[in-house]
Amino acid sequence: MARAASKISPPYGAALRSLALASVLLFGPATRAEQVVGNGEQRDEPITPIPTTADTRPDTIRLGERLFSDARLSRDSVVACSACHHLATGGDDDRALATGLDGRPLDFNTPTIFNVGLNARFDWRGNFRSLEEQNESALLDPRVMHDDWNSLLSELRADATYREAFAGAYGGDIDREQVLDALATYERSLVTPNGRFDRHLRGETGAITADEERGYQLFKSYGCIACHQGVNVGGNLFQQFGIFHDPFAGRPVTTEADLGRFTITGDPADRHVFRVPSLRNVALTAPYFHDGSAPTLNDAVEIMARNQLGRTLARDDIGLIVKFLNTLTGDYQGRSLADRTGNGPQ
Amino acid sequence: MKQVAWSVTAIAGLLLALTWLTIRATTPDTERHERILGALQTLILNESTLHRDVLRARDGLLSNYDPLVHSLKELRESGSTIQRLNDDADTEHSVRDLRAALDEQASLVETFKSRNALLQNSLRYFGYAIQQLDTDDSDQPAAIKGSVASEMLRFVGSPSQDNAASAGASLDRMAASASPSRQDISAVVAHGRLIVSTLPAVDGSVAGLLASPVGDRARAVQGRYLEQHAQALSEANHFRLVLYATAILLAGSLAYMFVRLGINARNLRARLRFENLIAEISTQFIALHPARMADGIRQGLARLAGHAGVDRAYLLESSADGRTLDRAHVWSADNLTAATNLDRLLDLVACWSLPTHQRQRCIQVSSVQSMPLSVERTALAARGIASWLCVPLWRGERRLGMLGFETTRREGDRTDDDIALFRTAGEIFANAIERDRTESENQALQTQVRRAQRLEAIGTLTGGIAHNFNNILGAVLGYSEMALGKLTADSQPGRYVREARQAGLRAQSVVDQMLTFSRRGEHAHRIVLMRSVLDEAVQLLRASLPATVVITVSTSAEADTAAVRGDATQLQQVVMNFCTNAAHAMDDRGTIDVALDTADVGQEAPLSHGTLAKGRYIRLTVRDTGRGIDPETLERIFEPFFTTRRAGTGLGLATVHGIIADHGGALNVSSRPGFGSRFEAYVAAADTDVHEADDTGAPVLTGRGETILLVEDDRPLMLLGEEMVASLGYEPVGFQSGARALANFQMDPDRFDLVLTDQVMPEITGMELALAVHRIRPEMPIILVTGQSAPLSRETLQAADICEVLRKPLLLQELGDALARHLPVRARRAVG
Repeated sequence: MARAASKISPPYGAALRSLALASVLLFGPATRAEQVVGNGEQRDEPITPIPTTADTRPDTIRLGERLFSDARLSRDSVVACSACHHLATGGDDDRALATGLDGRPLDFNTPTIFNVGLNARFDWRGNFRSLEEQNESALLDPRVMHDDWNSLLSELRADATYREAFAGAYGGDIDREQVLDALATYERSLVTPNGRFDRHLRGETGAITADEERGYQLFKSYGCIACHQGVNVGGNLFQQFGIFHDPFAGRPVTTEADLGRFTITGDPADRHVFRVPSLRNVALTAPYFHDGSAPTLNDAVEIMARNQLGRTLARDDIGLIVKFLNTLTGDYQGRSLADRTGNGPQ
Repeated sequence: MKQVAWSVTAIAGLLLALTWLTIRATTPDTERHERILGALQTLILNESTLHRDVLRARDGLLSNYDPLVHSLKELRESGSTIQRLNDDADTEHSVRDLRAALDEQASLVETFKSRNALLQNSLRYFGYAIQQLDTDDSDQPAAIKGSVASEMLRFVGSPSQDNAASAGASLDRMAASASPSRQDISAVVAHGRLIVSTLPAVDGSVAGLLASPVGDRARAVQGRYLEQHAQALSEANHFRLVLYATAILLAGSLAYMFVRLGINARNLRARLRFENLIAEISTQFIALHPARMADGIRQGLARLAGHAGVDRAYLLESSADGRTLDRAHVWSADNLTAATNLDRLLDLVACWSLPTHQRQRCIQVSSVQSMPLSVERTALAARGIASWLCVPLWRGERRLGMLGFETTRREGDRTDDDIALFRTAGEIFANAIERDRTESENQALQTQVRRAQRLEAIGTLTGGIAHNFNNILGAVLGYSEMALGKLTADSQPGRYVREARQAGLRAQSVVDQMLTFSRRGEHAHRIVLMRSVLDEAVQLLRASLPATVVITVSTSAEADTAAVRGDATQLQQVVMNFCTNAAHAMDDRGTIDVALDTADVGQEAPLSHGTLAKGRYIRLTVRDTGRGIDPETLERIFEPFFTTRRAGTGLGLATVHGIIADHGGALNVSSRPGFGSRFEAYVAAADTDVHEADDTGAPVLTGRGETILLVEDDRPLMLLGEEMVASLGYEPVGFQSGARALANFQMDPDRFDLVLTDQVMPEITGMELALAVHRIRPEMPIILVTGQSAPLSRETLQAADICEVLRKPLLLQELGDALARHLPVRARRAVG
């Protein structure tokens, strides 16, 4: 249609293109819903499967991958992005708190890099709207990678292989936008589709066990689903940590990190407000919470139910819910992350 | 070079203008504009989607927030796209407002999501938990449960402040009534309280979102953009129109240039043909024999006329004054008569007074009819022509004549180029004429030089012969005289000797004339008033020629007082000889026009016989209407002994030639056989004009009645002599024969005071008479008159005691002087 429109004179073409765009927008959601029920079985679930899309920019993704694991992106070439985001495991570092350049712990737990592109906002406090912003912040943060663009770009330009790779992907001289775009593009490609639950959502019978199905029903009926929904099972809204009970009560020290979004907006309503994290691959990303204070999933489920839902769950129910959460582990590069790490479903 | 620079500048300017127009004609940044409009559309649509999804989420119909996130992302991206692409200062403010509204909307959505998640969860759980309480065996009074349920239901249905308060109160009652150990009840209370506290906030967020100005602002920006786009489009269309007009204009001028090019090429070809024609005519003239010049000119005219498409063409040669027609060469199509009144054209051109028709020194009359009323128009209209082109022919500043081209019906203008070519043609004709004239002049000059050389040679020869003969004759005459003295007059030998002497004297007269021709004579030149010379000669001529010959004399005012340095007697003879010849040519019947005027010769001028040096001349013209002279004769008329008359000596004109040459003059003769001849004698004018009281002026009355014996065998001359003597105050007694005069003298010798006698007479010569008179009165003064140029020998004169010899023709002055010279002594003596 757009092709046909291009043959018509510009003003009409513009109108037609707008019309086409409008139709896509109007019927877009419906189309998505149809994708969900691709196998014919209607499942109007709050959680949607990760779409399986082909990489459209393989050169750029390769370049981003190389940058992602290149320590030259940090000052004195100490650490690469991959130092904290272990792609072999859950896309995080298994620590309670991330480690800074100087070896000392940082303020927050390292979030997983997997499915990061499906998040609406980034970091625990949701202070970044785009991956590029988040990446640049991490690159320049004195505590994280402490690099600066001049030295970073000159280092990259000095490398003939980089010059070639950038020229192939973008053309022209290497610059800041290209580096950030390559990294973000790569990171967006780090999706873990085809998890068992996704297959279940797509109508594959036997993808999950009856217990896991029961766990999912509990997950919904207890109200976890109120926040952990959508394609990323969370990651698309903010929520206060501690609705019915104060999780920080009784703690000897509360850190600035515990104040959550308040430290960014200064709004009292944002006190202890965090971005709701995604539960994709959650079985692989222990310990949990912004400070890594919950060592196991069971702990995390129990704490969340008490503080957020005002409920105390029975041990069996927690077990079922954790079983369900295990089905959210997806495939990376065609293989289940669960297999790679050796952590089978519990 | 300058023109090239100008063209380059013009073309560069045109290209610049066209480029500018093209740029203005393209729709300004269509793609950017469409992207902005697209982004605005996306924005508006996503806002609607957002509203819908928010309402669905509020009602629990939307189970995840991805659609909201997606809409927010689209809105945000559209907003930044619009802000990035917008470069219009007017719209920028609206766009900033839009983005502020978007940010506000985004934060409202975030708040909504967070609270709605809690609310939806609590609503679901509250309903479930209340139900559980109902079914469970509980110590909780059913009334309280029912109250909580109904209050909460009312609050959720209508979340007013009152309903919130009563719902809160019922929850409080439930909490108070239950034991702390009942976790299910406390959960119900906790969730109920959360509902009570959150629901209004959620509804507030929803209301805020629905009231968000994003849509309105986006539509405002959109309206503005569409307006601008339409304006830009119309502007572009306007310039496209201008561009189109320019293209048409350029195409038009291109076509015009092609046409012009064609016309120019045609003109060039025509011009080339014209130039070739002129070159051919020129070549033709060069190769042309002078004798065929007239033919050549006529052919040239025909070809020119054929090319120019005229009906008549003519070349008029003017005489020296430039206005008089000398010769006309005429060509005319279908033999239209064009030769009439051509002589007036030269004058017309010379006095042309209409500058509008003068181009490049030519006269171009495109339409005779549309000329202003004027002499010129009248003259041309009289020729019955429609258009006229006149190319005057010049040689330096001298007019040679003109070329004329006429059309009889067609009118038409000529370009400057054409006229220039006609001028070139005119120059070729002028050259040809000039060459022709120069050649004839050269020929005339050669003829003249030949004549002069021959005359010179003959003169030398004649002079030598005459000199020798003169000496011989002197001896013959001398001895004859001496013999006569020894012989008796009546004796037969005496008679023979007298006859011999008589013949000798005649021979001497011939020799005398020969000497005059060869300019061997010695004559004192004095200032002579030409007018009086002419008058006296004419007087003599009238007396001597028959009455059937009429002589008219005209003298110009200047010539009236003009004088020459010369010999009056000789000059008189020139007049006499010319007139005598004229009378002969007319067989003594007709009019001889004699004219005297002056002529200033600016540069050396060749005449038919001789060349005039620069200077001022007195011109004597004698014109007759006689039989004329054929060219062969004309060639030789001034040679001595050349005569066409049986009785002629052939010395008359030769003498004239000698005299005129002696006076530094020249002769010009023209003649048309059958129509008459014209003789012109040019004599150098003296520096000063001579007036009265000059010694050559009117003779003084010297006589006192003295009686003069006059002897002349020719009766008219005798009568003339008597008249002259009488006019000088003497008493003339004339005789036609010496014998009768002597008889009369013998009868009364004292009656006469002086004897004036012709020398050459049939019976007794003047000399014989003188001897006879002196035998009677030895002291008697005797003046001898002779036509001979050479003086008689001194011995002879002394022997006869002749006082003085006067030359024929007698001049009054000379006669008076001579008489006065020889008479006064006697007169005084007589008185005394």
